[in-house]
Amino acid sequence: MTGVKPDMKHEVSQQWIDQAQAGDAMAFRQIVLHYAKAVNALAYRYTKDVHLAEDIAQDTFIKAHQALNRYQSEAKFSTWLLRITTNTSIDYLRKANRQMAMSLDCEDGQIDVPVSGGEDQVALQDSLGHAMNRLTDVERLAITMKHHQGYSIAETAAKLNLNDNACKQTIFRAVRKLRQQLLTEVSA
Amino acid sequence: MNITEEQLMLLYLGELDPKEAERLLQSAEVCAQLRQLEADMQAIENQTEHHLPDDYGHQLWDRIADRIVSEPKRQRPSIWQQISQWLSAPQFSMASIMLVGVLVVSAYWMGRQEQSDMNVDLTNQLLAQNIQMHLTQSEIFLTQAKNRGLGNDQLQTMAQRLLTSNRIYKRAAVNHEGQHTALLLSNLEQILLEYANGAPSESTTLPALQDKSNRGQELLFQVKSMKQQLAKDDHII
Repeated sequence: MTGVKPDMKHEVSQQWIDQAQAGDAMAFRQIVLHYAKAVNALAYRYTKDVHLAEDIAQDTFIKAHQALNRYQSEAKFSTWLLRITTNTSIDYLRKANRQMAMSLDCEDGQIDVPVSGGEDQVALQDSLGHAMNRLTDVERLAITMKHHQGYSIAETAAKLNLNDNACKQTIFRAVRKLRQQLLTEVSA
Repeated sequence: MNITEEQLMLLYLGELDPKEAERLLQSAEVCAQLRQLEADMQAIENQTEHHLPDDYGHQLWDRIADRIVSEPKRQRPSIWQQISQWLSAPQFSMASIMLVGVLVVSAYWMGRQEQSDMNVDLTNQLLAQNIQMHLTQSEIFLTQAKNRGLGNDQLQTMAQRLLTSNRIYKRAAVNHEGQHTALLLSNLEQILLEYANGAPSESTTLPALQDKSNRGQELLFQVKSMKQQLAKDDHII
């Protein structure tokens, strides 16, 4: 897939995983040190909320620790851990009930583009940050799961309780909004 | 060749039928549109990265360590324990299985002894490496405290963070009979505790400050020595 950008090129040593599975807290600490940033970064992608991302990161590692014996070494550890991150993020957003229920009613692809105050990199970053904020939770979840995490549309739809077509349209709408924002910022 | 926006997105997302994708990619116009979409998404990706501090992993661990460490270990009972349970079951006669039991246990013990030694060595080695990393952070802290390189608030935060790890390692060192390491970590804990509870205020008396400074310097030396020793032996002492 062209759009997938793996977060972690290097997996944690299998030795740490084995030790952690045997109940060694310090081996699990190594796992936390190795993956903490990637887990938080993904949670932040899903939520665009620093505090929520922090809560999700903590919860992800606690859940991973509880479920460690269920991890099978045939799969990459990072894949397993980031799936927990994804599920935890969806749970948190559902609990927070932020726009999740309403997002599918919003078929309008238009967004209000803020007036760009400057041409420098910081202003562009802020504006694009706003663009991600302006996506609904479902749009942000769907585009991140598909584009960044490499889920298929069918898997994404199943996780988000959407039908395939609705999921596809949600992703298209998200891409349109982001590109529109980028175009406006670059031409400003 | 004309391509709809939806087709382009499906092509980009890898969701188009391979034959259809191959057909579309023969068009230079389609390739150009695809490259533009890829470039746009990459620009958005680059500009919306979430920056975290370098020591974020340590911060996160300090926040969850108590919950992780307090969870009971999920180790399966050893084979010896399983055999003991089996032997103690009332439906089996102890006398009739004693002979077989002794043979099995003897054979098992001989095999297990070797494996157990390997596990202990590995665990000890891992612990020594972790404590070395912890001592490096503590060394940085003590140096900052000595040179007043950080503000009181920063020192306090750093001390609070190190304190949790220090307690875990101290407990682990005791469990692995690392008396010297445990003693050093115990001394370190006292200093960390003082800073964690609030660095010395302006009103603290000069002798008290000098005493603290002397203890800090002495501890710094001990930390450096212990680090070298652990690196040399790769084993808890």
